[in-house]
Amino acid sequence: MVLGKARAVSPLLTMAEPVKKRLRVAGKDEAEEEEATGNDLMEFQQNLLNQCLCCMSESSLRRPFRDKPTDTSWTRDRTLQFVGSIQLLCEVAMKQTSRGFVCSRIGDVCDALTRNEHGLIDKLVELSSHSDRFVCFAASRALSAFLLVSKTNVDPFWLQNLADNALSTSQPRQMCFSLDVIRRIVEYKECDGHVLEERGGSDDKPSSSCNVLMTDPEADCSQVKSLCVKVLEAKWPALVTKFDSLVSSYASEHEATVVTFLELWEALISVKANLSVADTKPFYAHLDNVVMLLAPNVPPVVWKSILNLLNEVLCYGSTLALQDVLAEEPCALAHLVVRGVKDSRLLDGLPYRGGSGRFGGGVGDGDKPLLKKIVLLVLKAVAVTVKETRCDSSDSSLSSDADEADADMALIERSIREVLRKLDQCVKALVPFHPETPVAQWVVQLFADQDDALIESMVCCLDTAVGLVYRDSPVGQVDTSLRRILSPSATFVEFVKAVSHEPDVLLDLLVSNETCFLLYLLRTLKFVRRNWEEFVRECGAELDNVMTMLIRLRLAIDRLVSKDLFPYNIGPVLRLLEKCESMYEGNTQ
Amino acid sequence: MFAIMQVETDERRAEFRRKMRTKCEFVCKYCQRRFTKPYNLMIHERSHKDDVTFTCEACGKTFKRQDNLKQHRSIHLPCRTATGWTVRV
Repeated sequence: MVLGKARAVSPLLTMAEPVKKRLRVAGKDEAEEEEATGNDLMEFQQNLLNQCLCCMSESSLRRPFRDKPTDTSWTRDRTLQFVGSIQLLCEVAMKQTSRGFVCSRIGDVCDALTRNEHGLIDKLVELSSHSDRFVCFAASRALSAFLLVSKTNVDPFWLQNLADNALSTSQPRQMCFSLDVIRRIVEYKECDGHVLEERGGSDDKPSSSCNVLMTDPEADCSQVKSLCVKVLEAKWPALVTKFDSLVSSYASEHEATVVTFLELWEALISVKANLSVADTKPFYAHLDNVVMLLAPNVPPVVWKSILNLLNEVLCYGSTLALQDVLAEEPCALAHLVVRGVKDSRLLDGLPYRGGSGRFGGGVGDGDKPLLKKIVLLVLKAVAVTVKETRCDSSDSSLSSDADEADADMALIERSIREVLRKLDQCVKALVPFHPETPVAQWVVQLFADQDDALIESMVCCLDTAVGLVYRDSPVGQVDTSLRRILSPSATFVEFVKAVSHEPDVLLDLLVSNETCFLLYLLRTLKFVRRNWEEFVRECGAELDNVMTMLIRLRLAIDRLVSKDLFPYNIGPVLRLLEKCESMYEGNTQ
Repeated sequence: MFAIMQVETDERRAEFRRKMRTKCEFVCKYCQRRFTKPYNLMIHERSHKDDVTFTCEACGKTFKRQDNLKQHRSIHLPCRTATGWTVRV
């Protein structure tokens, strides 16, 4: 087409230096075309930022999508501008739709693209093999936004193609591209605005001249999500095999691919993905091999991704702690971790200072986030193991003899004591805690700067202590050393000190759903009510400070409840607070 | 410890799980996990972040976003008609 135009413009140029001249003119023509397209894209982006495309002519809207970004003549900047425009268009359309309207022209362009009139899917997938990594990255973001905005128009074949792309390629970057697109779809949340983004601000609204169409704000991307999960399910064993081979013959160029695969795996089984537990069941297979990969030669970044995945499987604070019957998969993983720490020196391989040797060796300040992830995993594994044993032995139909159940628990207790001893030894070798500090206290100090992990680890310690130490068992069978190591009262006092006796912090934690603090407070108060004298003894001089804070918390909750402002039923916590308060008053009197 | 866990046969474990399952009455609407106590289910459902639903007091319709609910509420407000004020439902 371009050459044809060139001929039509200058037929006389065939006389001297025909080829060169023709190319120059063709090049000039092409440059003009490129400039026009570039200008169209600039205008397109600017209008998108103003939330409306109504003022753009039909030709300016169509021109940028006629050509292929995979054309080798395209410069890097032109490709990035094109891909960035697609992403921006899809994101603006999604944001508007979720708010119940869409600029009609934005809707039209999206419709045309999602019907794949321009073969955009193939163009974006082809960019996964582009030599420039920025182009690859931009294309993967644009493609995930495109698939999400497609909603009901998504062709399962596109997703199939993506998964195949991840499997068939030997190029780590291409595999990473496909996995990243799928991960973004699985992770996508309708309400995902940036924290600094002001909701409903004037910037979000199109001008009054815009022809706005009303949309169903409740139409979501769950269909695309579930299609993705279905497609992945079929390919999962092959993908895991590929991942295993990448890690076993680890090379640094595979780092991004390995991490992306683990992030996708974590997104699939995350409670926050809101996927049905039946749909995600296939993704719980093959986890055994992942634990085996935790070796000293694996770099810290991969360790952390593996630990994130395993910590997500053991979703203790959000789910497992609340269930009476635990699923088999998390229990099997918990056994494996407990065995790994007890018998296979799992903790010894931790690359804390990026080096080799016992407990990592090496130099530098050490990787505290990595240490926190492994500590949380071990505490969760211990809590799950104890909970599973308690659940099984509490059913009289299973154990003909109550003594037998108690003997099981005594054996578990010995193993758990050994695991906690090794964990304590590992942490104290890496972090300068006082040698006498029990797990119950250092757990608060270690996690003090990360509330979700802090509270989940406190729930694990509490449940383990209640399950092992405070269970109804024949006198003399329970080891008193565990009582000190896991003392729930000591943990609570340490926690109250960490929040500077401020009830507002506790109130914030209760109202928000970012941590499992409601569960922790409920169970701690139940423990305090049942073991009041021990609690008073453990608190010592801190008792008045702790109780003053709890009374102030109760008053604050009371005020909110009386105005009907508490977002859920806080009644059970309130009653326990009142009960503890009355015991305290009885005590002080 | 694990030797003892393995002594317990799979059949007994499956029987136990089946028995326990019949007791479960509270199912999470997001992930279909089962809980035996309603308060435990409530605590669990709060973990499904960013997907809190808001319910219209007038008709019970649920919304994922509070501003959508506010917008929806207006349909229950009285509006002016030729014959006087009326309530849309």
